[in-house]
Amino acid sequence: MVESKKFEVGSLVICYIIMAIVLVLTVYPLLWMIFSSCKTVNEFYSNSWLPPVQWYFGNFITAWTRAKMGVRYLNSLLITGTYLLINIPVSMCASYSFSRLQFKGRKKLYTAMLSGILIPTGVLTLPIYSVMVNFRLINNRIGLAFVYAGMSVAFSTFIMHTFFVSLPKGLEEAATIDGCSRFGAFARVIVPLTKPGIMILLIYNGISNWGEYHLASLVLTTNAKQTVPVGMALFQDNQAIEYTVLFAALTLATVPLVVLYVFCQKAFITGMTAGAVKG
Amino acid sequence: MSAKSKAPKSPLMRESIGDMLFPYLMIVPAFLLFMVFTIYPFAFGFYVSFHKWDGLTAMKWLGLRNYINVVTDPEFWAAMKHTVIYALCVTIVKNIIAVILALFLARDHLPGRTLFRTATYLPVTLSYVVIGVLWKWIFNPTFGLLNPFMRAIGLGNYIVGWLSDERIALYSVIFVDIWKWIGFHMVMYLAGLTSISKDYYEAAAIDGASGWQRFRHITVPQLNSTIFTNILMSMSGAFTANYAIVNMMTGGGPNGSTEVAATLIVKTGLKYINLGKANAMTFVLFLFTFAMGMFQLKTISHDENYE
Amino acid sequence: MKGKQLLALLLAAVMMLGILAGCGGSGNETPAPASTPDSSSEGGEATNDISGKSIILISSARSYDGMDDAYQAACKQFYDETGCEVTTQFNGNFTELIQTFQAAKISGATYDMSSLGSGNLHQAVAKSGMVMDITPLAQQLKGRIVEGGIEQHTIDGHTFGIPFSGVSTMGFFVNRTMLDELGLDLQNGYTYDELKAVADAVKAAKGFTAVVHCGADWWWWPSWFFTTFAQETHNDSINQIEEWLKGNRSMEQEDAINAFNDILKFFQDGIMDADSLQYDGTSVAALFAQQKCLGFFASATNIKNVGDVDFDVDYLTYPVMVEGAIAQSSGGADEGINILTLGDPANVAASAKFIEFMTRPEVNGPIMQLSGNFGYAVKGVDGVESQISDEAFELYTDNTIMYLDWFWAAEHNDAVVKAIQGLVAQEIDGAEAAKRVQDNWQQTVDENDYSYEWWNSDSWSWDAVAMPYEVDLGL
Repeated sequence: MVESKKFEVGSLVICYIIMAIVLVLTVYPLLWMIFSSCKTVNEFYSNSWLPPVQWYFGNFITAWTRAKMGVRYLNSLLITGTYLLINIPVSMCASYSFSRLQFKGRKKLYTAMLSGILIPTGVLTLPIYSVMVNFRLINNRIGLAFVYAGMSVAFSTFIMHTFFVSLPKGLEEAATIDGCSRFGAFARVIVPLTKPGIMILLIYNGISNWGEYHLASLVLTTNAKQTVPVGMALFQDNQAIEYTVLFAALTLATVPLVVLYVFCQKAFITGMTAGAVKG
Repeated sequence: MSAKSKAPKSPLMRESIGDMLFPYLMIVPAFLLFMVFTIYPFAFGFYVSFHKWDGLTAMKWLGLRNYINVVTDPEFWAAMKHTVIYALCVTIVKNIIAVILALFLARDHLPGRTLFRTATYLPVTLSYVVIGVLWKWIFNPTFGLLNPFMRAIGLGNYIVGWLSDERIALYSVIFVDIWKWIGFHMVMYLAGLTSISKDYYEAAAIDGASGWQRFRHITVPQLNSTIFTNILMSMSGAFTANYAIVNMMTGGGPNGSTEVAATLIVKTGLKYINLGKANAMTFVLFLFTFAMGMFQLKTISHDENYE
Repeated sequence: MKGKQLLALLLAAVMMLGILAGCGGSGNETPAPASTPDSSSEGGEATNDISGKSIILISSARSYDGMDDAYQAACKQFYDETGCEVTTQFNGNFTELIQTFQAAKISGATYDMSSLGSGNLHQAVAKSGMVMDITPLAQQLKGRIVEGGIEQHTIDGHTFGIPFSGVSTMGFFVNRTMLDELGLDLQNGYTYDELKAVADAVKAAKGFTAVVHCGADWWWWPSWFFTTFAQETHNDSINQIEEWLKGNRSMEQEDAINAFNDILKFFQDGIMDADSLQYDGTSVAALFAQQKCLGFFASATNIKNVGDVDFDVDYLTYPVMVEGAIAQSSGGADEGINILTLGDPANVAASAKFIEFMTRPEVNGPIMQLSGNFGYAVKGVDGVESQISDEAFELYTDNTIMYLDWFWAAEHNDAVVKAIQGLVAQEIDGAEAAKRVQDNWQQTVDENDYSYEWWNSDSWSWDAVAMPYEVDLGL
């Protein structure tokens, strides 16, 4: 017993050391970005790595006004919000069907969707653009959200599969016996149990979408409709990058995501532990 | 209630047709979007791959010429080689470290766990612009953080050109990629771990199984779906989704040492404006990733869904 | 039957999706301008009256502070003067401008004008037939543009754009104070050996490498070749490159191999080192400002990133590496304003008048001077006050030849970049570098039917891109 206790303490110490290293590696860069955005250009070069000696907030004002961040935030919120509202329910329905229901052609169809993840998307911008032209979705923010949903539906379905599959088998039957419709069984019984999966999708898809640049810059032609990443391009001249202002802009763009993530975390924790108890 | 359950004619009919259609109806919206915005563009790209096109003038039929050019292009194979190295390194390291970290965090009482979990996920929330600029700066020979740090801990002799040495640059980029995504994979594994019932472990402990045996015979099989998902994601990401990170950090240089399939395709298509060849490359790459995906499906996944 | 009902529901849902997508969201604007085609759009008379017209100018994002607003102010002034409304759409990076054109082609947008860099023009856009041949306008505006500017936007005698932005060049910026402190001197016309001696002294005294370069921004590397090749061909480089592109000579000839080896020398002799591969424009400016290097080779505009420093900055040309050759640097009037064939022909007069408007020094200056350049394409627009002397400035403009990467294709440029990066790391030598570039050229010919004189092909017609009617700018 003494042996195992020593092992316990020993492994705990190692645990904490590793955690400390990982913590520094992950948190420091974010702090560095924030510090840098509060420095003047001169201090940025002379004192790169420590907190600013003198806190200077002018960069934020420059970034905000030059990139017209207010409007861009709203546009990004609109597009990403709509995108998530479409993508998540649609993918969940499909993933549920593939994971827990039996029907003819299930395997083939699922493999087809799975292959969607394996498609390299680099040069697909133009064909997607022509599809959008055909549907008259150019310069249309909601239309763009639909397109984003279509582009990532395969991935979301794939991710949710893991979560649906891990739930015990008889749950739907129990629900339908109690008088639920099949869809109701899905919506009221199964979905709440997959909260961790939904959170993962929300965060991962939300963040990727927030930062999407190529299609957004091509499709949203008027300034009033453009999103945050498109605004970032303004600070990257081919002669030189204005680092301090760029970082201020990036801080403004990133901090909401981090805050969102921290909030989602709470729901995440309850979701995960709830699953464990039930299991 | 869904509009799908309308009153049918007889009780027997109610069960069969509604039930039969329900699964299909559930997948229809997703499939529709998928066909229109993923499959159709891809099919169009496939069509373009048999032509010479600059996106501005008319297309010219070339038959298989683009494919021959791709397959005989040493630059393409060099990029594929880099991509495969990238994929292997990234998949192995990400998954092993993520599992270890998840195992740490899955313990019952661990002060600071929430902080740690939030922190590891932070890099995932940072955009590629931030990450590219940040790490380029860390690796900078004069103003960067890494070199002074290494000198401070006595490893000054090991300083190399992190992004300027042809032999090292690719691994620097790989490191940054791993740094970014570890948190994500850890969270996935954590979710998987917490869904494994404690009863299994208790029963095994009673039977006298060691920690390692419990891991091998309970954890791993139970995590099978999670493992498959994570591995497929990291591998396919290295083939199809690493354009942003490589481009931000090195643009494919120096001397092409960090050129991966994704960057070469974008370069060929959008910089050299050779859309035909770029789409041919895309399709060849897709064949690779598809084969790899199917291989993983057969070997790793024990999911009855796929067999 | 239940099945049929469900199917009908499904169809309805799909249609709803389509309709929703079509008219959902706030506004469904397409980029087409609300142009009112003039009933008499053929005659010269109507071209004088452009009021009520609305034209669109597309280009990449204006990255200088305040430039967007300056453009809007100019557009408003134009409107007050002529009644014609100009809308600007400045999106994305300059490297993405071609995609905007491709998108325009697909969507059928009717953009009227663009502003294109000479590189983009030569490499892709001119041969697409989307840009109009505005030689008649160029002839009228010739007097307003600095010498040689219009030629840089002219192909086979047909002008596609009127330069109206900054003029760039490259040179060697050096810390004169540091030189004086160490008792060293370098004057224009200095030789490579003199530079080497200075670099060695600096290394011995200060411990750092004398010269740095913004090599992380990979697009700067070819400019080394431009200058060394200019010297090795005894200042005939442009002609030689054109011959090479046409296939009349090989890159694997002595002058080119020597040119590559000249670059290698800088690194073999320790004047520069491979760290330059990791420095970008801002790093280089910082190194210079903090006196961690003697000098740097860069575009003249990089010096403005250096900001105010308390030492003397001097501008020098490249070292003379070949006896009897003049040290030339590369540069040119980069951005030109163009009329597109995509637009409504009735708007061409309005576009032409806008071009005339934008090339007036009093209009052009307030916009372009925000980039802090040393020279501008429009005569009468003064360059910014700088640390370099007037004498140096004249030297700068006298010995500038057109950037070679405005001639060759993007593939060739990348091959040169990679070859030079290999030289920097001292992994290959000049002969190998030349071979790789030559092989790359061959590949573009074999795979892609590359032809330098694309205008001579059967499918190209100069008539198709000619102006639809004459426009008299009344100058």
